[in-house]
Amino acid sequence: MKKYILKRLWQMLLVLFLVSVFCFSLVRLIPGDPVKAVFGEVQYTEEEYQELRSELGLDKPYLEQYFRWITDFCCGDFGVSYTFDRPVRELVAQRAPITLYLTGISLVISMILGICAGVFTAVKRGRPSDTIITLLANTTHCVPNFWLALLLVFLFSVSLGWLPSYGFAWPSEGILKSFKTCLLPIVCFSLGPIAGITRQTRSCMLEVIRQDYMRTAKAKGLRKNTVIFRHGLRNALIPLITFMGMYVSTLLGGSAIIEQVFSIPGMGSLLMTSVSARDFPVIQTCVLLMAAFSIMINLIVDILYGYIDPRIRLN
Amino acid sequence: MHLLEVRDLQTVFQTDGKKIRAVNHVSFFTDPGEIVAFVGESGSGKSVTQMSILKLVEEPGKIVGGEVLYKGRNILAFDDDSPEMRKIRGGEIGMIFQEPMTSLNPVITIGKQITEMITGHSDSSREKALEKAIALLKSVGIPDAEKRINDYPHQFSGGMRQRIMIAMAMAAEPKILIADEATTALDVTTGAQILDMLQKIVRTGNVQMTLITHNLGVAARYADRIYVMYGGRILESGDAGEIFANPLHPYTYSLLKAVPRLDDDRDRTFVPIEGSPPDLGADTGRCVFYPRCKFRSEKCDKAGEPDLLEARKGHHTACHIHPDELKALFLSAEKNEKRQVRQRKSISEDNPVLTVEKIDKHYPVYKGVLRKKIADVKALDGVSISLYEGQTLGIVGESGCGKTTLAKSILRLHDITGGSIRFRGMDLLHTGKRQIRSLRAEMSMIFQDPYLSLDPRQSVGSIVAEPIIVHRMRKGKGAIDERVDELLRLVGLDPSLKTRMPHEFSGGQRQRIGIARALASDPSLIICDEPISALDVSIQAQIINLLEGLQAELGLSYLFIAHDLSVVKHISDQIAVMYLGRIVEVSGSEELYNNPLHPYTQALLGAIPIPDPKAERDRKELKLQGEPPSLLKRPPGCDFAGRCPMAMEKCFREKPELKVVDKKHQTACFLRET
Repeated sequence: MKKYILKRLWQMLLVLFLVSVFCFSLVRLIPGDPVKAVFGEVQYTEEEYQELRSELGLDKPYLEQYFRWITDFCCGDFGVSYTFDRPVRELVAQRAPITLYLTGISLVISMILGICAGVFTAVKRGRPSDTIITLLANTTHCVPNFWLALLLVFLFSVSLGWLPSYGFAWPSEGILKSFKTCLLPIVCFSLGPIAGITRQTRSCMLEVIRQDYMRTAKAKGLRKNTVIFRHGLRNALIPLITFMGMYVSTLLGGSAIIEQVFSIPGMGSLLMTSVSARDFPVIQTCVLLMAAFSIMINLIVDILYGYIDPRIRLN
Repeated sequence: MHLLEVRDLQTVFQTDGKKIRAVNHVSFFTDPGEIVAFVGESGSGKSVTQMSILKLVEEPGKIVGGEVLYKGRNILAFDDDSPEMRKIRGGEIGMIFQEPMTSLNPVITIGKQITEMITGHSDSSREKALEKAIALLKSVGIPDAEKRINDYPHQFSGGMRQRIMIAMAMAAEPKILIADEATTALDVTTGAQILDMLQKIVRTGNVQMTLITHNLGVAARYADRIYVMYGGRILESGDAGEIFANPLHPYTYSLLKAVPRLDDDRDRTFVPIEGSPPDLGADTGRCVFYPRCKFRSEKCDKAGEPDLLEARKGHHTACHIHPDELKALFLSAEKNEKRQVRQRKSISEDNPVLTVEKIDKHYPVYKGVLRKKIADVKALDGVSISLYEGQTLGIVGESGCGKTTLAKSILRLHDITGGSIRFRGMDLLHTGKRQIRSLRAEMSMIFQDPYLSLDPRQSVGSIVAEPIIVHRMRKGKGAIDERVDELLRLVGLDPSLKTRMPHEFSGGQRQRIGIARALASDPSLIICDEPISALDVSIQAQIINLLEGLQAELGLSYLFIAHDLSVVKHISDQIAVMYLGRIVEVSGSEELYNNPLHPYTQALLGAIPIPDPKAERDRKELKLQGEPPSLLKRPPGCDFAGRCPMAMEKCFREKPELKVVDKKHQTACFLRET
């Protein structure tokens, strides 16, 4: 097991290296000059321009820029943001928890609801309740979440005025306020995954229900719920876990848009603003950190596999 | 009052607007301490009947009528998930299923799976339950039960898993044990061990056991009473001895005539039951066996479905024809049945089609980061065989003995490690790719599973035409079509069906298509890899007769691989017995049966039950313990020594070589060396 984890960590480093090269090159390929972006509307002379350019280190050859960035990054120095004029590290430390908080809650909610709904529909296969939930899940799965976010804001904030249309508050700033600000984003984050997990759980469970060991369990005189949850769900979880790991990256990617719609100061909106401002250090740091995070999650998923499926653990 | 009494049970499967009457007015009873066998082919409703008793039939199946009285109480009246029903399931009636590989939950330890049965049906504590589970595992012969209780099912062999299944079924001390094809998926010697153990449980514990089986031999060896099922109905029931000695239903009679027996005269021709299994969706209002019955009369056409009536004391049959009349019909059929003494093929011993000399097939085993080779798995270890023109060589052995590896090596489907293979004098190992291609046309193969070995998206005509086109046997569309028609006629299929897809055919017909495909390239050697084991008993005889007819007509040589010794004995001229990648005995088929020399052959023959209780009682047999060792841990001495009751000290040290004992009889055993 240890050997396996080490091997995976080594692979992970390789992937991260590729991601770093990729995002470093990409930000330099997109049109737009970060120096000009820093000046913004302010008039500047050629001298001032060159001075700022060398100050930001952008006059050096690309290879040198890359090595300086990546060595600093590994030492924990993510550089200084051009637009915010603050260390990127501070920015990330302030914003990452918000994104993790919202996506984390959404993931837990969608796992619980998705699995419950999936098991329910599989057991009630072909009944009206199955048809309704499955239809609902299929429809929800197709709805783009930014559109849903706009609709919800329009309905609950603009028309009804029940909930604030933007902002974020931690529970420490007041439970009710926090609940009100987080409710809509969490709903937008979770609906897609709930629908996806429901559909996936349903098909995994339907596969498991047909298995011989389910018949054995029933013939043993076990309660129906014991048969379904103890004997069935654990087997169905094996393919499901991969799916959930994939949702972590989807959620992180989706945060860029949702946070923008609700003006939540998270990693997603940070990435969005820094892209439009050509804020190279921030873009590079955000992309690399998000990549590292989702690779980590997938590694954890693979390790979890072994705990759920003994056949993998022992081979 | 009987322990279990089923009255007029009816179960239907509603699919695509069709009503399949899987269990059709079935009534039977069982009493404590007896072994009752339900005999029938696939689709006869024998399993669904037993499942219905416990209300285990899944949708779209539905019990639509009848009652199941257990100790006088109708258990069908209980709700599916009610405590009463759950107490009966497992607590009063335990079940053992066919597939030990899939019937245990792969993600739960065997200890938990057994203890949940105990705690579910009694109020014993977890510790007590665990103690009991260990005791149960010991009683079914699981070594190191204390240590292995926390292992998962995949860590056990198939035979061991079936023992665990039995321990689990016995855990709540049920009064009835239902074994649904409990040994069908296992090797013969392992299957015999399991059934012997079940028999002991029944006899000592006053438990009633119901055996569901398609194997008439198993029923003959173990059952006290037998119910014969066909098309969802019980056609005949009675004492085991009575049923086998005096079958009173044409189906039972025909079935007994159709199956090969180990104690058969080699010249006996099987009388297959023509036609295909019944379509249970159509209500013909006639006897279900009518379309395939050789003895049917006008009365059967008009008189509706016959009821199961007592013909003699305790012997019931569902047939319109009077038993005495039937007896006379059976007798005259036997007289008419031309005892065609099959023409002995003249075999010229100097004309071998195929010579395999000392071939080895090793699979390397790697370990560690550097993938260092640490050992070889010797799947084939010095195997030599020769097959002569027009002859059939049977290869028998249990799963994992290397039968299929041998077939693949001969066809050069994989490379071998050492030795030589000559086909018609040509060295197959040192022949160029192009020549191999042309040789491939001369060798073809018939596969085990006719459901998996035919491309489901290709029409039958194109399946059969493929080898003709690949090997350029015929030129032009007309000529190819003509050849396809000819081949289909040869295997007994109507050429007009060639535009159909494989799924439109029954199992037996599909195997005929497989045979037509094998014949398409005009081969002289056909390798038959378990060609009939996936087929129903009544169909098997059709295929065996077809293969034998084709051999006589076309002068084919067969390499016939099977685990069923009674079939191999019938069809083969020579038989080679394999154990753990080596040949332990080679001899003429009659000689092998009459005078087996190797203890393994003796045990293998002894493990196969004969469908005749009288013959069964007179047999002396060598019972085997344990299972074949892993190929990774091949013992230093004779591979069989660990299980051999006659092993001497020398057997554990040295490997015996295959030596000629007398004319055409070779064996690898020190006992036979003088």
